[in-house]
Amino acid sequence: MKFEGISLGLKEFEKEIKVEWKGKLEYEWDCGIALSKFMEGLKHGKILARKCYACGRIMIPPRMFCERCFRPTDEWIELGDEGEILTFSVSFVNWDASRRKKPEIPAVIRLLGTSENMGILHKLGEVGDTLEEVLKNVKIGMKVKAVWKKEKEREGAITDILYFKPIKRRK
Amino acid sequence: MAQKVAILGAGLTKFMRRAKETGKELAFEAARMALEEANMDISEIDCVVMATAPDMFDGVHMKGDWLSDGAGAKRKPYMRSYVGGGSGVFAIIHGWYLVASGLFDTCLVVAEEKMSSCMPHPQGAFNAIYDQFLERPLGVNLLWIFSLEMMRYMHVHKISLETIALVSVKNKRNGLDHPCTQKGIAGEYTVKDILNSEVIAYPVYRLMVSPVTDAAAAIVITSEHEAKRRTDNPIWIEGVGWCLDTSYWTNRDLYYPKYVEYAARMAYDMAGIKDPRKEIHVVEPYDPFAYKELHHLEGLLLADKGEAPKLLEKGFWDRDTKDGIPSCPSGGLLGVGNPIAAAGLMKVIEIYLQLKGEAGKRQVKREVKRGLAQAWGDLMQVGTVVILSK
Amino acid sequence: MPFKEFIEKLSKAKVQKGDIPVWHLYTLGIGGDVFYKGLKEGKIKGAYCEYCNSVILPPRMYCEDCFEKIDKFVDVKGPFIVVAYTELYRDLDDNRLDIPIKVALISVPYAKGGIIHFLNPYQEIENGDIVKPVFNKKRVGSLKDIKYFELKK
Repeated sequence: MKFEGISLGLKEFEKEIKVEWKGKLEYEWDCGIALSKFMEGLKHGKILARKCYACGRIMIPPRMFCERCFRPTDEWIELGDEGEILTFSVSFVNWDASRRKKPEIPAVIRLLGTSENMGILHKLGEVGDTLEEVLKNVKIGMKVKAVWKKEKEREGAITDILYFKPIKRRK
Repeated sequence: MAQKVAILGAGLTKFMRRAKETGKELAFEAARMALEEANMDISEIDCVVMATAPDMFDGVHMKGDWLSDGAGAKRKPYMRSYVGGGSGVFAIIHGWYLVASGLFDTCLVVAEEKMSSCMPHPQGAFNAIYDQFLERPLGVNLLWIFSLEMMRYMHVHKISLETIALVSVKNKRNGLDHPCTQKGIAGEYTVKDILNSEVIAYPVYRLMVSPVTDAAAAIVITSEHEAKRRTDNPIWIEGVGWCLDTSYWTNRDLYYPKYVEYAARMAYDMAGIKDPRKEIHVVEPYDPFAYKELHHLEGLLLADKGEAPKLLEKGFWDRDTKDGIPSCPSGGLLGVGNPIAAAGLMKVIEIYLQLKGEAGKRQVKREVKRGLAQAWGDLMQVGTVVILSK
Repeated sequence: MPFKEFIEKLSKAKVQKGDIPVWHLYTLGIGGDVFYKGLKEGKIKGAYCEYCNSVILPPRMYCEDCFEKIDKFVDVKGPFIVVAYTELYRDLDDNRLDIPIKVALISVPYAKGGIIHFLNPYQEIENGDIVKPVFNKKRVGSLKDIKYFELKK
């Protein structure tokens, strides 16, 4: 069997005649019913979940229909801004694969008052600047609390929460 | 009742970081080779299925349509299969139902990926899979979703980094014997080497991630009577299955891929398999990241939850195992390369070659009568499974 | 069963802005490379498929009809004929153009396919007219090495 394909090394690639396309892909996405209300809540420092009376789940991100029961959801529930870490990572790369010195610490966080495994994606902060520090300071199952932007700087976006930080236990 | 469906030939291009060929040209090379292996002419092909992953890689909207002539689809019934990383295996499922239904007798299934055109790095194209309201504004990157899942999987089953690194060691070694392997990917590594590579998103290390790849793969499938007319020993498609979980990926416990289990159960039922651990003899689970192979082996019910890593340590998944199930004998995505859709079809082709006894140096030691290939994709969400037999 | 709540005031509906910041850098492939290198030399190259005995424009690595590989490429010297053309009166930002742009599908009678390019905007050119390419003096291996096609006198 003969396998075809001409592999270009980086130098050969640079010498090739090439065509460039710089598309400009900018969007404005309608947030819809559930997320418009959720984002308005964030602006006022509130985290809103949605409950389905059929399965009883309290869901975040909030949604107007329950994908499990496939029926409309029923009620808004205001949550606190504390949660527990379901999983986390310590990331040293940016979206363009460039390397970063200080890591970002993405985490899936379950807010207290929601149903089992009902996490959202966010970031952790105040847990260290090196891998070793972060691994020492962060454990799965740990309780965390939202750190908010100043009220007048909030714009009704997920980034109105800057990050979550560990709740210090009182001694 | 569905017609029986057979695979008659397969084609692959080399796996490359940057191919000189365009996506169409890569598709052509793989499709041409599959036709030659099947000893068929394009005029004998009734329909064409094409798998190719996000349009964003090529920056070509509707890239399935754009690629069609390279897949031999000019003026033929043609359809694109697209479930992200799961596409390569989904393509054969798609081809299977076109033939099994009796609608067509022959189908050319092609998978192509040219990732290298995407700048500044193809990883950027994946950002668009995240939720645009609540996730992308956080400055996401593709690795997060894997590193978060891997961390959860390790936490729940108390798996060490050293054990996960063994997957990279196994697959990169297996990949040495694959004639299409991407330069610099395969090799003899130790666990120490893997864990000495840089941390890119802990717990993911550089050598636990599959590379960016340009390549294409293709197979020819036919109905039973066409197969029997053309060959004495066809390889049959015995079962197919696929399943999609919710895209609210943070609302699931990531330690276990339930959707892979459902896809596998569908395929096992169709193939009449009661005890997959005895009846599957070789397996190609999807391994874009080292932990993913173990995660998927559990989802495929080939190991109990949390047991795949322990079996790995015992050599159960090795290519030369006598009483285990060889897993990723090809070298997988870690050892050969990861041209998204083409990677999945490469796995199907590996099972096909293993069953034919034509895998050369990669041929597993134990006797094989039945094998399984699986891919995974979308937003931590889809499992696609195919079972082949002699 | 409908949703139990709707947005009644438009001011309550939110919008999330975002972009997809990737861009693309293409190598031309086997067929494309022949075409662009030809342009650099002031030539229009075509592929020749020996199975269906035809010239294909622009050149490509395979014949999509015969599904066979092509390794023979030829200079296509004409006659180039305007198959169809269109006139554009506005630019992409919807500004009125002083001189309309003419874009045409141009081919030779014996070829499969054709190429899309500009026509000399100052000439009256109709469908079916015979045209010839006007190459720039300085050529880099680009579609724009051809300035435009104009009437062949």
